[in-house]
Amino acid sequence: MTVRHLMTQGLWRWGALTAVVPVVLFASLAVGDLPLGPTEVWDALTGSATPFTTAVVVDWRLPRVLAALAFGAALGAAGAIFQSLTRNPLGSPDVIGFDTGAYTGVLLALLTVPAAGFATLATASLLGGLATAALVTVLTARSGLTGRRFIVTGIAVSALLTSVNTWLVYKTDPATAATGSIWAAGTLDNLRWKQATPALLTLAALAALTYPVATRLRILALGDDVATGLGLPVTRSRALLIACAVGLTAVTTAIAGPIAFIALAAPHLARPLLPRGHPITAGALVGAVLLGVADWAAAHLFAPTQLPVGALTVTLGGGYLALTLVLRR
Amino acid sequence: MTPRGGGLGRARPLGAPAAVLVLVVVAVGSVLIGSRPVSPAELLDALGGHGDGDVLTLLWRVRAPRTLAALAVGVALAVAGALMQTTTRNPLADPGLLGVGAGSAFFVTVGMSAFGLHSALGVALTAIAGAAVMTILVLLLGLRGGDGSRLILAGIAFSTAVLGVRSMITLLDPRALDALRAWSAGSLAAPDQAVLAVATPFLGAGLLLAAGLVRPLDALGLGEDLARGLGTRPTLVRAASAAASALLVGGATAVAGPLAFVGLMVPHAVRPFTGPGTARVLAACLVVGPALVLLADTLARVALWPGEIPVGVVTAALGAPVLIVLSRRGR
Repeated sequence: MTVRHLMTQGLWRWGALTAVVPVVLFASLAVGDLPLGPTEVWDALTGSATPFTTAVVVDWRLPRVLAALAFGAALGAAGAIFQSLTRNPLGSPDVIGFDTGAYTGVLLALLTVPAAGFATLATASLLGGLATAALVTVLTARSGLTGRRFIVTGIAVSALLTSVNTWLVYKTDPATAATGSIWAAGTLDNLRWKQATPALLTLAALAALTYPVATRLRILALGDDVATGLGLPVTRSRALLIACAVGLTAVTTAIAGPIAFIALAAPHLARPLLPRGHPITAGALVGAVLLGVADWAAAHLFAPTQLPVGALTVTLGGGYLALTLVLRR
Repeated sequence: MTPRGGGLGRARPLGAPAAVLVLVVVAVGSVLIGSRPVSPAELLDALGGHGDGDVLTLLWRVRAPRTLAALAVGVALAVAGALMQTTTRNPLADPGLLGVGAGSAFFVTVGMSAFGLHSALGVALTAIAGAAVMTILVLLLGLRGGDGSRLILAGIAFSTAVLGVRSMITLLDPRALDALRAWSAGSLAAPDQAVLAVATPFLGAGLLLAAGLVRPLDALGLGEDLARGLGTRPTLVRAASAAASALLVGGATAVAGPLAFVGLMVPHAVRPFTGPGTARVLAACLVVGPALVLLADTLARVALWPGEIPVGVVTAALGAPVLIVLSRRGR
């Protein structure tokens, strides 16, 4: 993606949306229970503020904001990959039951591992999500990823796992169930560097893996025959791209819990906003802005109540999807 | 609607009595099984009017209303599912999957928390209003044709949004949690007898309307032009079918909360035996629907014995594999 390339494709649109990111970042650092002015935030970031202000900005707010932006970008990119591969604008990891499977993993870990810590739960959610994605893919192996069967099967598997999850919640003692349901709400509350650093590093590594295969998505979109004719190993490319998308979603879900519909909505909103040449980058950018704003709103809109951002995105995103389906011709 | 051959015209004389027998067995089982099991001898004593006071209280105050509620809900959801499948021509139609139950529950949630509508009549009416709104939306979407999965996805999207709103309400106003808890998963654990009593006439009206739709729906199944030639007015039939579905689903949701998959499973289960004729499908739904809900509710009591899980969990566990199989069977 060279600069000349970008120029011809509407650089100003990319620039305008990219400029929103630091605004969201700065606003999230400044606004809160302790309102800070722009100079105070800047001083804190450069290390010349009081220790307390520095703690608030650098230790409390910064990891949460960075995580929100990075997780949003990861979900947006994953959604763009899924929608392009399934050739269905409604395909997204959460619609096909990835989140539900991750929750099953977390509940099983809470039930079987005594005093399960953060790392255990993150691993369990990872395994649960991956197993679900694998199950849905195997069940639809014959009909392929495109078309309605993939999505309907995902919905069915998701419904089945939801009932398993409810059963597990009823089975455990109330304290364990409460731990599980905090995770299940999908929240970035209390996210500190201890959790944010490994997540951000993993996401950076995954982004580096995704970048070189991203162009294959555009070739695959031309159809399997054309892609094969152009010398692309179709099956392997598709598997690689799915692995990237699932990995991006899995890391996010493991740390923050299910944050629904960002993956679905970000590529949709990116289409009219940004030039179409780079769907993954566009989805990531819009996703970062979406989750950055949503997390800020969830934290401050109903203060002092901290709303889990997952509850906000599920409401807005579910409504958005329903509306899209009703209005679409 | 593309039923698989089989039943058309071929007599299955034992099907109906067998289904009724199964219904009777699961109904008796539902009365006997629970955290405090009742022996058949105790039941006979109680029916004779003499027996232990505690057992009598248990049977008449707990088990009997619960069994009646399951019967009513099963009939309503199965018939509504059959109506929706026929009217939308979508074999995957189900009041729960299409979000009609969620719409119903959403109206009740808002009615309770914002307008204080806690009375039995208030709950029943808001539930039916919500079901009506959603049924009309679903039908409008369905009539636009195209991919059947879009309907389901719209239903799922709507149900998820409703869940999100509910969790926001309960987070912002924890006191509302108690009133809404029963509405989240679909439960027959303690059906409100006043609501059941109020909902019954609405369910009855829905069933009567459905009975009146048997011939017009069969005619509509032949295609719109033929139906018009036979003197049927397609729009009127669809509107009446939507009204019947709304009454049935709204009434059922008022009693038990949103229950998915019953309306999906039952019509598909009976069609191989009845053939595609609407009359026979609906008649079979009247027997098989309640049998399924009673069975699911009994399983819900056994799964964590002596505790129990919401019946909606069991219907989803039974119904999700059916959905997978149905979506694999190409159209």
